[in-house]
Amino acid sequence: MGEIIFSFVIGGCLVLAGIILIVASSRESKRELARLADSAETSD
Amino acid sequence: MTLFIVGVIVSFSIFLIVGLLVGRTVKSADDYYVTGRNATTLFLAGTLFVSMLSVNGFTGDQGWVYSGNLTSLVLLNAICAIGYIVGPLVFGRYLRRTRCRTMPEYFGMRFSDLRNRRVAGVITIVSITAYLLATYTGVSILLQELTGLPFWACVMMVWAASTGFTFYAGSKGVIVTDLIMFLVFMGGSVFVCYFIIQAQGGLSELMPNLIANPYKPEGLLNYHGNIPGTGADSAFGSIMYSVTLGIVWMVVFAVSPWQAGRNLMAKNEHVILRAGAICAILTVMYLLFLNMASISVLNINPHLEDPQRVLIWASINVVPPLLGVLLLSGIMAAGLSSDSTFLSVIGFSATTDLVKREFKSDKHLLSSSRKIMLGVGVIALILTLMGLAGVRIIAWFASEVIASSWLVAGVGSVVSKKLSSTGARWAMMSGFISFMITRSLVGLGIQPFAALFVNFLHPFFIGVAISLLFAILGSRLHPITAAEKEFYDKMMVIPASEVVAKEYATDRKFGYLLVAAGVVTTTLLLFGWALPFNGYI
Repeated sequence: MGEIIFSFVIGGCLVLAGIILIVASSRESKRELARLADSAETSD
Repeated sequence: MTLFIVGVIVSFSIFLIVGLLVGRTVKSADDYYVTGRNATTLFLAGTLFVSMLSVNGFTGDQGWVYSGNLTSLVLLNAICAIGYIVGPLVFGRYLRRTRCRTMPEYFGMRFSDLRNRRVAGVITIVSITAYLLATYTGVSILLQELTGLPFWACVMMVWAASTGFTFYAGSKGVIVTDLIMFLVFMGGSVFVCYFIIQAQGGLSELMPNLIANPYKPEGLLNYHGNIPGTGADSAFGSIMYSVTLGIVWMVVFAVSPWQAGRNLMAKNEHVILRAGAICAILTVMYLLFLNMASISVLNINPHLEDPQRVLIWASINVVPPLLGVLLLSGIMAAGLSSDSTFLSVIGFSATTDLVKREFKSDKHLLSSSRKIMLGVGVIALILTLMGLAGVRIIAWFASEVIASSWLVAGVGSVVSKKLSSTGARWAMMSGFISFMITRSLVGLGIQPFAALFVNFLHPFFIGVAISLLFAILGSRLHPITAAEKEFYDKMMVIPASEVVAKEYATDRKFGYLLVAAGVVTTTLLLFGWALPFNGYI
């Protein structure tokens, strides 16, 4: 049983890393693109 | 054996020629230390992975696997792989934004305090000298195995080659040879591993052969590995050892000079994250494949006297000679590349981080750095000749020093607005000192400390806890200044040129690639090992 759980933990670490990257990238791109758009409007 | 000696000489020669050619293009200190800050994803991934793997990944680590701790290392690698993503997100890319050349310089700039730079410089030099020792030892062992020359002669040759390379090539030469070696040993090792696994009957026979092998180490195929191999006396202790070291290495990937420091070379922040994703996948999947080759050798020769030579022995005795030469030459050059990286970091740190000094020109700065490198290289040479410990032990000690000393100050410098110069400096010093004391007590086997400082009381965790305490205390007693706040605010701004929707979309594709790699890894482990081992299929 320990070996089965172990197998999920190992793959799970990569899955976790992937989710962190996807979420961080999504949030940052939304925030920063919105901020850039606001700055562009303000300068106009 | 002659073919292997020729292969080594060719490897050395290519290495030095590349260094000399690239060295001609080095015009400034920026070129020398951070390759002009334009490394692409593949270059950065190559140098990151080679720097991490170095010689230890092919010798010390494989010796541990051969001795029964395959699952221990696989778990450790999986945990630390996360550091390749988290590290850049909470530290690495901010380091790059400051345009510093070294990490001690970062601590000095971030906290507007030269004392922080000096403390970080001392820790860098201690830690990297230890790592240099490990790589000198590892490459010398390899050279000794190939040539039959005495150990001391091999150490001298390794020292001379790496020092000469470092003098002329700098990080530009290192990143080019790192990429060449990354491709050579990646490609070569895949074929070598294939031949090793085939030599004992093929992949489908690996598990049945190991199960039937009376000489296999105790616990090899169990989830906890060989318990005594981790210094533990229970399955929980064995797992905790892997978890602790996995966290240590995750922190190393996040804040160490030889990993996070590579981010200084990146073309932009998206490159850092993508290179990190590639390295995370390689750390789990490629190393798992390499480890399988090492345990395959148990079915061919289960009585190796020195387990850390397992892949070297297999490259000479099991696989076709040309492939063996390719792999061993690649490992040799990877080790020499690491030596050069460490020497150049030590040289620059000692020259500019410890003492406030004005240099007339970049040429003068580089000249002073080279003199320091020569001196430190000689010290490392003498310590290597003394044969203090195995490659894995020294390398892991070096990583623990950095992780313990810099985790709080490094990550805190980004995520905390309240961490002051005094807090960061006290955190680094207290983390370093408390780790060195507790680690020495454990290393020397002094009771009751050696039995007490394990699992959650591992010297790493003690160092981090004390570091955090002093960070809070120092920041309360001496709060941040206006200059620190200004620098922090500036550091938080993402360069406008990097805010491109298409680039973020590509970053997310690498994220999906990581998820897919995780699913594939779990599937392979389940059907290739866990289910058959437990008799379910």
